[in-house]
Amino acid sequence: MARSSLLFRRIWHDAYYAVSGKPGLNFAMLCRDVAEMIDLKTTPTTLVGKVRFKLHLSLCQACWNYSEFSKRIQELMKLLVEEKAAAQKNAEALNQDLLKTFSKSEN
Amino acid sequence: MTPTHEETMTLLYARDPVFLANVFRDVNPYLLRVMAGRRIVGPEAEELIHQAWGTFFENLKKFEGRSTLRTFLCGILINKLREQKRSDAKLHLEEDVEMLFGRAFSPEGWWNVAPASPDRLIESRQTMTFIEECLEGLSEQQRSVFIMKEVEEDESEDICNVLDISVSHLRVLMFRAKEKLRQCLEGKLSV
Repeated sequence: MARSSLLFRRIWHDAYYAVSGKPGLNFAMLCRDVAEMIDLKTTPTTLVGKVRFKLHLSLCQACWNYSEFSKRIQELMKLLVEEKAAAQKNAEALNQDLLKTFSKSEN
Repeated sequence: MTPTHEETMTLLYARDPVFLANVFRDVNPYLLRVMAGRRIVGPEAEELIHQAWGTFFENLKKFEGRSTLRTFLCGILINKLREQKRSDAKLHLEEDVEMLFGRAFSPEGWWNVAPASPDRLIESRQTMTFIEECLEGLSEQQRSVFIMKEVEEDESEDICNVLDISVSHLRVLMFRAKEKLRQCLEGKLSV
């Protein structure tokens, strides 16, 4: 990521918190809550909630990194698991074996 | 058309071969992937899956349709794994929620240590090897939850039902799993 983009995000992040994070206004979301939404893959249901979430992600470098890491590790994990599963023998052999054991008419 | 829970139960009690063949075809690749994510493959994985189905049919009435069949089976499978690894026999909350987040976030809700950019985390043989190595550092619970949530994209509610944990516990496990992976990968990729 370009250095100017990082700087831009940092300046706006601080300004955003200075204004909208003040008690009484409380528009800025907490990093802790944003991280929770990323972990549980929940999305805000209201339009205002969506704006708050997106705005926070756009302005907070730490949460942006966390979100990007989460997306990337998910993609890589999926690839890894698919690769491992493909290396196993055909699942059909296992299915047939299970049918022999558990199906009534095959017993 | 998808059968209702009652229809499913009738077919399961009857051990209908056509229905079972479809169920096995649908569920087993998922179970094999869950095992593969834990580096359990081949006969060991198949044996565990066989045992899980055995337990399922012995306790058929416990399946109340609160979760999908595959997540329910996954829960049984994970319990089998836990039985194998006595040290992890009981599902417990590893850390107090507030303590964990107290370390990660300031009282105002900011990151104490901001996550670094994941730019170095690119798809390569080496990265995959690192991920496999780092996964070894996760506990059984963390790995189970992480694979179910991130790889299989199961619903949080389903995972909580099957593993009999609360959402806050799920959150702790997910956060901790990612934190461990992140730290481990950052260490390996920066060398």
